[in-house]
Amino acid sequence: MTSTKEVRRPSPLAGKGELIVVALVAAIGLFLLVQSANMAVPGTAGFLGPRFFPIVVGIFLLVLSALLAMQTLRTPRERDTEQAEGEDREPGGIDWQPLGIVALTLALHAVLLEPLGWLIAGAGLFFGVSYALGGRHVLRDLGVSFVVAAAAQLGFSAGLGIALPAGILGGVV
Amino acid sequence: MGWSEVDTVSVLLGGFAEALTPENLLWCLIGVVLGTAVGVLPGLGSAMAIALLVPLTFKLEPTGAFIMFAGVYFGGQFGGATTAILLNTPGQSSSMVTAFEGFLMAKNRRAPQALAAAVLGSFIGSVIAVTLVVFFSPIMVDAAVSFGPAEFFALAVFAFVATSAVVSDNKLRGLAALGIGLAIALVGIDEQSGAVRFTFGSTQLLDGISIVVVTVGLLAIGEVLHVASRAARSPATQRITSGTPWLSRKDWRQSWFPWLRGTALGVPFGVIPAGGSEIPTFLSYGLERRLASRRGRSQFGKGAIEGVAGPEAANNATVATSLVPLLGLGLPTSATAAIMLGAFQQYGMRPGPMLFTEEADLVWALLASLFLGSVMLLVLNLPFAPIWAKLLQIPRNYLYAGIVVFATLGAYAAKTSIADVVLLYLVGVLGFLLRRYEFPIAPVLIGVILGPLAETELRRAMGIGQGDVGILFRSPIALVLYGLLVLAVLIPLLARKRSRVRATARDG
Repeated sequence: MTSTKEVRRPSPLAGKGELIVVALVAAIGLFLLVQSANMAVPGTAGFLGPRFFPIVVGIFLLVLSALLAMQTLRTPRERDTEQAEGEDREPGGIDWQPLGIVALTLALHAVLLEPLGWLIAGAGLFFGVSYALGGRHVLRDLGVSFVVAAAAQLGFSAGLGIALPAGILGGVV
Repeated sequence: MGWSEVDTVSVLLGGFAEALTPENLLWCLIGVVLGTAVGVLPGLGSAMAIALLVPLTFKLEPTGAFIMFAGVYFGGQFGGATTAILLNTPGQSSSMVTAFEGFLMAKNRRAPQALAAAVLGSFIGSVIAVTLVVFFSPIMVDAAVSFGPAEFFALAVFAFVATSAVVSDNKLRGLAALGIGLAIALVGIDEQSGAVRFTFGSTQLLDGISIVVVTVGLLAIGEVLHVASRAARSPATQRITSGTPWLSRKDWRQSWFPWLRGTALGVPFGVIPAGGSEIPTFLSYGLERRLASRRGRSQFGKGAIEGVAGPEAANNATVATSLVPLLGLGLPTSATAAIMLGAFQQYGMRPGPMLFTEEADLVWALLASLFLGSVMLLVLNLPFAPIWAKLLQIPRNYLYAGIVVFATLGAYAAKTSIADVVLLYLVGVLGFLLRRYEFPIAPVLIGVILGPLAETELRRAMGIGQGDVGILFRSPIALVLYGLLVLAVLIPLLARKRSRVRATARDG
């Protein structure tokens, strides 16, 4: 484990990371407007039609993104000055390694679920997240992963009657 | 008025008969056990637990499923106090206040008394509030039967603004979160005209983005990513010390009135969409503190039992009364209530006035099971609270890995589609970004769940009025709602200004 006492110095862009979200809000608003303009509207549509509400939401999002951008740029270090309630609020950098491992695990799982089948892909999913969050007893963790995946498979197919992808083990299990 | 108290009592007894069947009792028990567990564990809330359970309950009979959800909802509030007191780690945000005095009590070897005051307070708050729910829901339903499109639209707008702008610390972020939710709900075929909207040309998205995917993605996957992003700064496991909960006569005397006052504070907050039970817990804490200093010899700051008893009663009362607008109007007042509303929609039911006639058996069995659940929670939590706290010893990596596995399976199972798993993870990334940059999640959920209702009712109202905007403001009920909204926006602004003036006066 890395030391927990590590001092994190705020980068020049600290407190401005939320511009990502602001950009996302703007992008969603723009997308709603553009798509609404090009939408095929059936002749049966009544008052207001299917375009009115999306256009309102789109404008709403664009206006908000502009206001948020102004707010963020004007008070770039707001996160530090606001009262920190509990640990959830404490500002700080991102631990890229664990986050990256979780993200990679999720991406791999989505791609491999069908070809490999639930038992293997699900165990991989459990193991990947557990490893990212500091699980280092590799053998024990692998064992737990397969037990969880198998128990989930049993519960879903026997208990709820939902078939999970069998994948390459389809003939064996 | 079609209801009298006698009718209410007889249908409630019918509800008890239904809730007391072995099967429903079992669901109730599973619900309260799960709820206590997620309440104890920090980071997991009843909102996430119910979101994860929704896809697993598709094949269940709806009555059993909702009894279980209600058990989780209640159990979360009971369990949250345990770790707040023993470890200074509130399991839920509504137990944050409990930690102030509760943990001090625990440090003074009064942990058992703090736990008992919390659990009994939760119980008293729940039972009183549920009784009010039972007698007030029919009245609200009577009023709501006359609602037309204009009133429902006003109600939705009320919920939107109240959850996003009134409650959030930062109104712009709250409103942006709401807008994101509204946008997510727009994807798919427009029900009224049949127009295809915002599907990126994908046939998978014609049905829209499922509520399960959105709620589980935002709450569960988003939370796991958030935890991973701070994994290197995890707190070490702490040692738990405690004994058997036992209240002396003096403790009882000190707790009794805070329980009742906390309940009285919590009850009204459930009915308005004020985003959950944090505010009443703070109010109750402040009130008890002020009363104690007026009486003299205040124990606040040294572990005051009133500071635990009041807030715990308040948050449970809030949770219980939030069922009145949820069942009677279809109006969710917190994130958890929004998810329960989504669950009703998955079962093809629409909470609101018609629910009490069309699904009367379900509603009354649910209400009756709330009483049973409260008793079960009392029994589960009073003697065993220290055992529950041992849940914190589950390795964190297994806990979150398990959450990801269940979230993934839940999203997959709804439509057995990989596309939903991909969507789930994408929504999870969105949830992570929102959490990281302190955008509230509840407005997103309210937007997703009430957005379609708002649009439908708006278009219906405008259809009836043939384009006359005035129709939205002609009904007295709608006008009252808009009026309340204006007040709700103005009062906190004024209060804040006043407290700022007072603060500068004190400092200067």
